[in-house]
Amino acid sequence: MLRCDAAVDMLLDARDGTLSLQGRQALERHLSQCPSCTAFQRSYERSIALTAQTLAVKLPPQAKARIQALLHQRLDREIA
Amino acid sequence: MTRTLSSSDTSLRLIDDQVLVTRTLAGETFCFEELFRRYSDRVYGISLGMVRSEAEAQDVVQETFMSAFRKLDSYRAESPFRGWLFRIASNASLMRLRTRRRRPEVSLELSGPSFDDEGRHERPIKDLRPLASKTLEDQELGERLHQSIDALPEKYRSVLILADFDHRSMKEIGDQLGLSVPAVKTRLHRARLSIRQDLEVYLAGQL
Repeated sequence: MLRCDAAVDMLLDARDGTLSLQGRQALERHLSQCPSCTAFQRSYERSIALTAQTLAVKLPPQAKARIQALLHQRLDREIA
Repeated sequence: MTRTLSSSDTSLRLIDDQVLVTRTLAGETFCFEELFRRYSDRVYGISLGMVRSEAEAQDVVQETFMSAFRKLDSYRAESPFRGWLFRIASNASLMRLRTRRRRPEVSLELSGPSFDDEGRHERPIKDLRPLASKTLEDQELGERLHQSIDALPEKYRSVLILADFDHRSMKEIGDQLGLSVPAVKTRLHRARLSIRQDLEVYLAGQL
């Protein structure tokens, strides 16, 4: 049976898509029997999702318009 | 080409990135403006996440698109345009961080979970599911998350942004930052744990 510390380490590789099939199966078996690691996985995933949402900001409209106007001007100049 | 892209120019919205690149290279620069429309928010998110200054992040957006335009003929269609563009943005952001006054390197303490000698969890794991119903419309939660990200030392924050916002693999991040995969893994895990820990504290204050 996989230890909890190893399972937590494997969660990172699983997220990264670099965990072997054998590793994934061992991790799944461990998670199905370990409420602590299951709770950890849920909370870890939740915090990653919230981080991504927090970082998904929009460029303020005024800045967008300013940069777009500048790009328009410069691109034409570079092409000319 | 003096045509300006307008919001009513919907015909371009259905065109694939690669076609827009080809047409830009053929001199139709308004096609590049469509690429700007598609990806400027995402580029801003990457740069703001890394440099943590709105003014500097806006400069990075401008630099990124100018640089991408100049290097467009070196872009190879085998990989998605957006990934190529986001890499330019993260490189430009990293360059800004490097030119800032050097601060002492700070290491982040591992903020849980802890294990006993047999590798079992020492303490019960807090369930963050009550946060599942919270969205970032919850201003307090959003502010707490911004503070948590801001508080991360730069070397951890960069890895976190590249992995969890730009969706790069640990290998790609290592290649970009000149780090081994285990080093990326350590930084990423510590950054995520630090944020998770802050969320636990936040949640405890809410209950």
